Amino acid sequence: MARAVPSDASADEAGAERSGDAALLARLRAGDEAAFAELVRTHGGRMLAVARRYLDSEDAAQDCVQEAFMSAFKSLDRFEGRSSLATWLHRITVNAALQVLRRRSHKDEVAIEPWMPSFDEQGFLEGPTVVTAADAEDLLARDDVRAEVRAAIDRLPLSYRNVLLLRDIEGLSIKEVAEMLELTENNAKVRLHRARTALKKQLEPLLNAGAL
Amino acid sequence: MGAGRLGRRLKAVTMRRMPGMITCAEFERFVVDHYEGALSEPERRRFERHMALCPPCRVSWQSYRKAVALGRGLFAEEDRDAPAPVDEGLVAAVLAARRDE
Repeated sequence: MARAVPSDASADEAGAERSGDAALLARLRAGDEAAFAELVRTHGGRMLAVARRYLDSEDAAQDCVQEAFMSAFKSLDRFEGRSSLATWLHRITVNAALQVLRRRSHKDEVAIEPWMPSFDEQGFLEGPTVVTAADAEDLLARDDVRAEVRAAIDRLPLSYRNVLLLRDIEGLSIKEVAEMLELTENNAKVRLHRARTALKKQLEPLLNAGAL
Repeated sequence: MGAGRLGRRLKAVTMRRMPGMITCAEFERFVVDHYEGALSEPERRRFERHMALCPPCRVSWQSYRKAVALGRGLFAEEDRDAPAPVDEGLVAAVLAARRDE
């Protein structure tokens, strides 16, 4: 899973992070109990935030992070330092969350159809004809917009939300998403489109220029 | 027949007469591939041609791109921000699980 280094991270910061990682890693490999606690305190908060994106309860997110740490501890010897510890743990957390979801016999509790566009008998669409000129960055400067976008993503049925998160947030290819979720590529693409369409529909009041 | 319905009927008749013109429903099926850069050149031209003549589809496409950008931007921001401090209960639980392994 390719995760880009934040664009504003300077080379110095990245170097310091790697150097800190190497020191912590050496202590972890030596079995230093304080180093394990430090790892959890340093990275646990971010991992919890990632787990909450995929799982629908705080308990499930906490269990997922615990499983992710256990999985990381077992793999310490295989960590080659090609990415930062933060990136490595992020990837492990996403995998742990997906494993939790696979173990569930999950049935979407929300239908996605009400958010899909409807066409007339000729196959033509009637819909808004104006869209806000504001770009996403400007819109996200507003607390109410951030809350609404988050709520709209959280309202998506899980099987659609996860495809959207893996493709649009984690940056996986559709082929990789399909493999991770054990779907056909075409099915993953259809779900991705429907998830984005449902998100768009929910955000129409924000995206419609007249509402701003 | 209401004005909206009449307008759509006129649009349908007009657009149907244009060679190679796709309907809004067909346009919708191209959206994800266009976003992913996976349309063939002829498909991309049909998509662009429909969009140029159909305001609802043009706005729908712009809204689709903005909705994706909002989702991406939201989580990119969350990833950049310092996370909340970890509950010591989680630290203790992880350390205990490690000892039990």
